[in-house]
Order: sequence, then structure tokens, then C-alpha cells
Amino acid sequence: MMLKLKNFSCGYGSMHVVSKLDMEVEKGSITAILGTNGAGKSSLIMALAGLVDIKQGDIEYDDQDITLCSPMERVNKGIALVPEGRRLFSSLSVYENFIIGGYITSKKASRNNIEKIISIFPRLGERFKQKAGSLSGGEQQMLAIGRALMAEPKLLMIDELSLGLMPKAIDTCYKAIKDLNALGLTILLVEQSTQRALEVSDSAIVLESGNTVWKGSSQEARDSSDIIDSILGLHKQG
Amino acid sequence: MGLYEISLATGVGIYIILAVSLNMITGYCGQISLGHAAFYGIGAYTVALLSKIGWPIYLTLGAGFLAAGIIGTIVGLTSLRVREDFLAIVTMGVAFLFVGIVRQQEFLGGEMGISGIPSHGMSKLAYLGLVLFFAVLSILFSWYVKRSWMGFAFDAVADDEDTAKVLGLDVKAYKLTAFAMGTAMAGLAGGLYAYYTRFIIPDTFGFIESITILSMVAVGGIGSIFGVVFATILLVLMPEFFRFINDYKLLLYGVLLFSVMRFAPEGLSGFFKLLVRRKDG
Repeated sequence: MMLKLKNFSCGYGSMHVVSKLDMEVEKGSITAILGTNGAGKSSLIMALAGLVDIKQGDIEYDDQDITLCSPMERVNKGIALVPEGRRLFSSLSVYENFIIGGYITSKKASRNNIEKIISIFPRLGERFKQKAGSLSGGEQQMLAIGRALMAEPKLLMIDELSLGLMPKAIDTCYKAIKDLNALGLTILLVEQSTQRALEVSDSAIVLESGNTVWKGSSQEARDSSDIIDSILGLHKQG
Repeated sequence: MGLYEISLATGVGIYIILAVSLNMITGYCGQISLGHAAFYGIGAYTVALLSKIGWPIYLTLGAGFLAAGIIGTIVGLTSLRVREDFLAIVTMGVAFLFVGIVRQQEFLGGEMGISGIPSHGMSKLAYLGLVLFFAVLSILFSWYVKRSWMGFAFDAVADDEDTAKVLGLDVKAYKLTAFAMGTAMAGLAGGLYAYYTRFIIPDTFGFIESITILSMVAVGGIGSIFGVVFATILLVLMPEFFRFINDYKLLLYGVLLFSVMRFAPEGLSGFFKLLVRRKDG
């Protein structure tokens, strides 16, 4: 098991945003966390990265308890985050963003990783010296994924992969996610675009106001439109 | 070069070190500091006290550099707990605290300050050379940091601290490093100032001085080395060349600071870049 949460709650101050969550993420799988705005998806993923306070429960990652680990320690253990809205360092170039992403690896490993990432996203190779802030939305998302991959993660967490992107850019990013997963990378995907997330994921968990309202295999959700309509409260998008 | 010009150039050199050092903390690493003059003062008082007991200039300057850097690192620890506006208030408190403490201590000269600081033992021209040497060294060091790995890390911390954390950066260490380097350089400037005037009083290192240094950084363009150096030279020399505005120096700095915030947030450096782009475009 790559990640295991038991009776997990997180939040800000005295407020619990996610309550008593039980969740398991299989090694080498793609798990989608679904839900509407304010369901607690992003807070959950931020808590896993170490940026939101954990109120209750434990995080077991790769058979280690990382509940009390700092964000830096989690990155060193192989957890990487692609934050919502990309949050690139806009005044730095594509190359410099990669370099920052590879902070925990050696120079040689960084060079090799940049080559690998460019082979996944060739467009970034063409924009190598360009400032991150001047890239298109799709290119920025590719760079955000690439920057996270520079840390050589075992678990990649992506917050709102398709948010604000053109359909073509969404296709490119989802294809990259599938390819990375095929290479053995475990992916935790937070998405509002339910249909796209269910298409690529192996399992899904649905949150509503911080509580789990459904979890199961994505195949099951794909096969039964009732689940999409009644449990998720959403309609299939084309 | 007359004595007046030498004296003016020495003052410019000291302010360049101060502005470049604050730029390291506020410009590069994004940590606002409204109490930078306190570290300038720590350097000046350390040098004044040690030179009076007979320490040679190379040791007193080193001690001023270290004392300011160590206390700066301790103050920098607050930057790990508070951010932005709150950090500004904390550092402002440091400025007032420094002056308040110095005023009450007899061994620091109290309100009257310390006079009779021994001479540096050089001609005024040679001393100007020493100050300019340190000013150039500060600029080169700052330029090197900006282009090094540490410069990228400072940029990342200044831009988005949380994202820097989830990429594995040791944000605390970088913030403390910025404070240590910047305040130590301010301490060096203070030491050079003590030898330059041979008389120091607490008010020289008060809140107004901190704002003056911040004006130089903001007018030049936060984060830009050459913009900051240019603005420092301009702001130090302008009241000298236009004597009639000397009495209104603070008003002038205030107007400049406001104008920069309102019309050119990237300062003179941003303004020049815009001009170059327009010319090229």
C-alpha cells in the first residue's frame, strides 16, 4: 500500500475541513478524489503535503508513519505536489523552475530528469529560457507537473489538473498522467472534472463537506451512470 | 578631489552597502524589514567600543560585521513565525528597541552617544578607497548570490513560500541566511560609518534611517542590484546638489516612495526596462 489514512481529519484553526476519512491508495494506481467546490479535496491534498494542520488520525506512507513529518521531509520520502493554480515561480525561467524542483536531487540527476521531462512534454524544451509567467495555461500545467517530477517522486499528487485549461492541453496533461502511471508512478488526482478523472483512474473517493460519501472502483462508477448522477450529484460531461 | 567630495563619496559608499544589504533580505528573499538601521547601529557601536579599547580597524570591522550578523540571525528567527505585515511590525519594533536600549545604557554613551572614536589611521582618500572597495565587494557578492542556486531559492521563497516548501526547500534556512548576510553587511557599513564620523548618537540609527534605506531599495527597484545602487547614489547626492531641498529630505523620500508605489512598483529598474522595451519594440 502506498498511502493509508485512518480516521483522518484536517483543517484550519479549530475548523475541521475533512473529517474522519479512511482512504487507501494502492502502489502504482491512480486514485481520484472527487467532489464539488468546498468539499475539502484541496485541503486534504495540502494536508498530505504537510501544509494544512492534521487534527486527528495518521498518515501511513510506504509503511512509514509520516503524520508529523515536515513538508520537506515528505518530499525527501517521495511525495510531490502539483498545487492548484500551478503556482509556478513566474519570474524564473522554465529551466530555473526545473532546477528549483530538483532541489533534493544531485546536479547529475537533475540534468537527466530534465531530459526525461522534456521527452514527456517536448513543448517545454522549446520554451526552456522563457519566463514561466509568460507561458500559456497548458504549458504552465506541464511545467508544474515537470517541476514536481524533478524531485523523483513515488507518489505524485495533482490538484485540479484540468482547471482553466483548453481541451487540447487537458488531453496532453491526461496522456502524460497515464504514461507516468504506466511507468509505475502512483498518482493521487484531485479533480472537479469528474468524467475525465474517472476515465483515467483506478479508484475514486467522493467527498462532500469533508465527509466521504462514496468510494469504490472507477470502473464501477463509469459503468453506472446512477453513481455519477445521484452520488456525485453531477452529470456526465461530453 | 576636495575634502567635501571625498566626504560625500564616502557617505555614498556606506549607503550603497546598506541598500544592497537590505535588498538581499527584502528584495531577494521577500522578507520586509523596517528595522535595518538597528543593525547598522549595532555595527557602529561595536566598532566604536572596540576601537576605543585599542582594537585595530580590521578586527573592529570584523567584530561589527559578526555582531550585527548574529543579532540579525536571532531577529530573523521571528521571520519564521510571522510574515508580511506582521514581520514589518516586528522589525519596526527592533528599530525602536535598539534606540531605546542604547539611550538607556551608560556604557553606550546614552543620549550623548560615543565621541572620540579613534582614527582609522589612513588619509581620507585612502579611507574612501576602503569604503568603495567594500561597496564594490557588496555589489559583486550580491550579484553572485542573485545568479547562484541560492538566488533561485531566495526567489522561490519570496514568490511563494508554501510552494517552495512542498518542493523540499528548507525555507527556514534560506530566510535565516538572508537575514544573516544582509544584517552582517549592514554591521560592516555601521563600522565604516563609525570610523568616518568618529562620533555616533542613537538617533542616527533610528526608524527614520531604516525608512531612508528602504526608500533607496524601493525607488531603485526591489530585487534589482543596479537599480538600487543607482537610486542610492541619486538619493544621497540629490539633497547635496539641491541644497534648498535638504531641509525637506524626508518629505522628498516620502514623495518618491509614494510615487514608486503608485506609478512604478518595480522602481527605476522597472522603468528603465520599460523604456528599453518600448525603444526595441
